[in-house]
Amino acid sequence: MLFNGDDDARIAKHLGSRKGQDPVITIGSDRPAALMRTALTFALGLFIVLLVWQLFAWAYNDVLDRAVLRFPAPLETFSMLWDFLFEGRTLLGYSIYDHIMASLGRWMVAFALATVVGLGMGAVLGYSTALFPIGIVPVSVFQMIPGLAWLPIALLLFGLGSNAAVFIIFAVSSVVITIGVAGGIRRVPPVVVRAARMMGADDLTLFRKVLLPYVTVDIINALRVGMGSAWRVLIAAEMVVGTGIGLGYAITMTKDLLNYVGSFACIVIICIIGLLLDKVLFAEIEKYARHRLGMEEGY
Amino acid sequence: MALVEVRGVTKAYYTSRRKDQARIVLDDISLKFEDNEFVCLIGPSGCGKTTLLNLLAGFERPTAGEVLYKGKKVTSPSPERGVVFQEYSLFPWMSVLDNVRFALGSKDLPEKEKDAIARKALTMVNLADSADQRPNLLSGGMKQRVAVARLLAMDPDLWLMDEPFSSLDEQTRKKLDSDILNIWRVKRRTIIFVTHSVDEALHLATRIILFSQSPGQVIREWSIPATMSRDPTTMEMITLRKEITDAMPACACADVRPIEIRM
Repeated sequence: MLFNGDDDARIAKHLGSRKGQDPVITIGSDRPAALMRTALTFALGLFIVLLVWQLFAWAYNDVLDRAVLRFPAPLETFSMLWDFLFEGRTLLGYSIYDHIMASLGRWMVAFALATVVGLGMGAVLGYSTALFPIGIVPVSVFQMIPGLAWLPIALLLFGLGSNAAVFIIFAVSSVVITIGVAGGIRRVPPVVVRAARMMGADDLTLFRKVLLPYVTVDIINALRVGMGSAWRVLIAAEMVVGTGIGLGYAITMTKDLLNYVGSFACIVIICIIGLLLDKVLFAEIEKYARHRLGMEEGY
Repeated sequence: MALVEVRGVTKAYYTSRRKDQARIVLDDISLKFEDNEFVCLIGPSGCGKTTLLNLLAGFERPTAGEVLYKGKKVTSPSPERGVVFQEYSLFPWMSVLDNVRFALGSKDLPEKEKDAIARKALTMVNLADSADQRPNLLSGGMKQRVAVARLLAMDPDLWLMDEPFSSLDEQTRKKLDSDILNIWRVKRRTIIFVTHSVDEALHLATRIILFSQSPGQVIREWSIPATMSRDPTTMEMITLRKEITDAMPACACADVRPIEIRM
């Protein structure tokens, strides 16, 4: 954005309240209005999604009118979602909460393992200029394997079931985290390392007190991207490895049972959880870290 | 024995990633730096002044020859040889005080004493009031003063300063130059100061070393007694200034074809 006319308009309204020659003008908090704007913008975006969905369902069901199966419209979907969430309606013998918890549980186990491995490997590869060219080769090879292509390996190692899904999620997200962390460490400006060395920092001090804080935001971003990959591949993995419970499993089973409205309700839940994790949890963590690290610009 | 001795140092870098060519940046340099000197290295940009400073600090090693500090070969950086960098080099997540305290990290002192030393160093550069602030709230001049305070706290025998104030405005630069001069007079350490400004060198140095353009060689040296007046309007200073300016090789950009301006 080149000009921010809104800012100028808002400040201009208060120019009259300037006290004498004081260069600072009191304007008052923008927070309630800003929150309102964010909410409205979000609502508008969401409205577009619902509108397109509704129009498509209407065209498919009522205009084409050749469908054996109905395309679930937003209202039916949210009505069923309501039943799942608040009326105690079960899905494949489990409550929707059981499915959510099963998926989240797998995601957390796999993501935690991926974080440990990714941070460790990323730190080693980022730190060692000698190991990086060698180590980045297998990492890049693994990165090129699409999530579900891990399926044969997962099945060979763990057979059908939950562990195979966890393995696939782990395989995908650990690679993403490794690359992000290694890249972050390699981008630390040489002057920062030189300054620390000149002040007598040994390897451990350099790593703990300088490199680690410097790349915290990169690490958080790597985890954020890894989290997103993990969440997406989790659902896909659950759809194919026969986990017996979980949102992905529920989607594929409801589809087979021709309960498309049920599938759609599960997809909505997946979107909401994904958005909450990314836009709320990780965005807040990143904001906090930037503040703690003194990496905010301006203000 | 000289404090620092540079013996036949040559430094060359690859010119491209293909590594089929190397360019010599410093060409067989031999220099000695004595205790309590204030040496300014001047010369056109790209003449290897910063490279020499990096070799003295131990950030890089010579392609040939050796650098001796107190008679021992320099192989890695050490808190005995403090550096003020051209770029800002503070840690943004630490307060100003913690940035200075970091310089005492390798010293075996009680925390309370480290705190006192760091605060004293900040007072010397007039930043005692900013001790608890983060560097991102400081102006460019203040950041470089914190970098100076780090060295004051470390108290190295050798100060290596790489165009430390060149990115600051003229007024601030002059003020900080005077501060450095005062610190040097009080502390009686050795300072090697890189600059491309003849005036800055004339204001500060007890010895000025002029480098040729790439590959860098020492063209000429001038000694200026510390007691001599640095008033730029005195006859002596004007003559010296002319002498240095005349000896200064044309800048590296001179051998590039002039830009054609078409109307």
